[in-house]
Amino acid sequence: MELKKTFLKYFKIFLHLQKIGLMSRTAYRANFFIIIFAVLIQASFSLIFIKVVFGFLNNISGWNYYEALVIVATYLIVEGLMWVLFGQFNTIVKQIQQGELDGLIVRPIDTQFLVSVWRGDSEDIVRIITGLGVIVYALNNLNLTLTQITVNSFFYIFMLFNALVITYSLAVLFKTISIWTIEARAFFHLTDSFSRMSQYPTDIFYHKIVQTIATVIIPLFFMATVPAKILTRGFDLKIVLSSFIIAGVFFYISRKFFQFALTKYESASS
Amino acid sequence: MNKIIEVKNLTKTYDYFKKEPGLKNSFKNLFKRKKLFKKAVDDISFDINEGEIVGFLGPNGAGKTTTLKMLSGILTPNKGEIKVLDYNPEKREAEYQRQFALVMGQKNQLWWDLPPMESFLLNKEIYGVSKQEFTENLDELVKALKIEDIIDKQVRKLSLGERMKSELVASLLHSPKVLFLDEPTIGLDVIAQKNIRDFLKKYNQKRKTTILLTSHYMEDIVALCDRLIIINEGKIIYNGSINDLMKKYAPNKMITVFFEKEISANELKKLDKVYKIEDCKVLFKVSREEVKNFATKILSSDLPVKDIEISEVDVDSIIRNVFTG
Repeated sequence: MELKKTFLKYFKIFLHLQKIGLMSRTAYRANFFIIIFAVLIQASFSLIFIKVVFGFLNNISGWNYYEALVIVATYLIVEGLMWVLFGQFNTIVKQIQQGELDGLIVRPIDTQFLVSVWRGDSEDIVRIITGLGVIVYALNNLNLTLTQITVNSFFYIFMLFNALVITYSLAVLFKTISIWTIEARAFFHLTDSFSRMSQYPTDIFYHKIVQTIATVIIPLFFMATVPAKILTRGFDLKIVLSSFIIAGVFFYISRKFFQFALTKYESASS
Repeated sequence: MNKIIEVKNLTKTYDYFKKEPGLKNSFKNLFKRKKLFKKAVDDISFDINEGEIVGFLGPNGAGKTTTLKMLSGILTPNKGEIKVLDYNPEKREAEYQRQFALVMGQKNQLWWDLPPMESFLLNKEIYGVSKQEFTENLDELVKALKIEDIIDKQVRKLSLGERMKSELVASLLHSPKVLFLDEPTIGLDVIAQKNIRDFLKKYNQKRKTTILLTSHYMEDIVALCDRLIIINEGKIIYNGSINDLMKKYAPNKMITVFFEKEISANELKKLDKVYKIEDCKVLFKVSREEVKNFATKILSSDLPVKDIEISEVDVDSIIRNVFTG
């Protein structure tokens, strides 16, 4: 009962912040449309790149064109969710530099939650829509029965959720470092490059060590390749289980790290 | 009296890196840096009772804001103990956070592109304020601050004074028991300053909210505070009422007498306590206890007195006395 109440409360705050985000974005009309346009261009570049590569090759490490599209589409959806829900957790850097974090720490709501959802970029929903469109297109061109698609989609949703948790946790881990360094553009680039890397099938990493790194240390494997694998090739117990474990472990570590960082926070300026 | 805030031997040290000017040194600093320490707050102790308004006064960098930030749990102390409403702020418990508010004059917690009302509604959700309490409080605050017609205007279009008032509303919607104000009147014009002071005074009387405020403006402190804590270089150098401060650092008052004509030095000598003679205007420096008798003495003498003025040494110069020792 208590848990349900807390959940509802947090959900209401989340909705309110989304509403506020959308309202402040639409306050500047031209800006709003230009951003949507920019996001669309960015999304199409990922797709064009795959198209070009497959102009030369029939498959990349065992992935055919339509399967590879599902990976890119998954990347687009995860990225889109990261922006819409958490503004990529980017606000933390600004909040630390300008001392806005002070105002969030003193509120009777979990600080990590507030920092995460404080400023979502609603217009990035076009990224998610593009991703979903590409998935529908790719599924239509793959030889899958309707039952297969239904069953696979069911597991895909969980894998997508885990991918989001992992990407979010990585962002928290890297961007929280700015509590010490104050400036953190370097870490912004780092997280950005990692998530960009996830849009290619991780099977391209032949070397054992690189593969291990991509699975356990920076789990690129689970960020787009795994969901796509489950959607196009069906359920695989080993992969699904490890996806949950990796997501759980990373979320736990990032949460602990954030809480530890907060105790070290030396609020900037007065 | 009920103690609301108890601070014991509080110390906060910041560490920072030494940085010499110049590009060459910037490169050097990339690899080798010298760590330095600065005590922002140095072993201070004080108590604040329920319903009191206490002013925190001191020059820039004295440790005022650092202390407020420790009281509100933003910063963790290096040493010492803090108890506010029986909570330890360092733990950042939601139960405690629901009962205080922190307003920083130099920071904006309202959404810039939206009317203040949106920020009020968000705070309603965050602090879990019931609909009825929200409506009542909002109504009361908006009326008291006379901002009925701006709560639907975009924040970026508001004047600094209007914005500060909206900040206050946003912070008071959840009826906090303790209010920390960090320079609430900074940058405001005289009228806006006075409005905010009057509002705070009334609010405190009505709600018995305990208020701790910092300010550069002496008038804020004199108009609002029962008690004054002066802090310099992280140490408390005065803690007491404004009256006692005056007695201690300004034991004398100034009596200015305007005469019809110039009075000879000889005659003035009889009166004693002459501080300065400027033609027909003579200044006397008299201790507080003697002021009444001395004034009567002059007025009842056969000297041609035209006017007489008794003035307090201004508080700003007293504070300067305190700092320079």
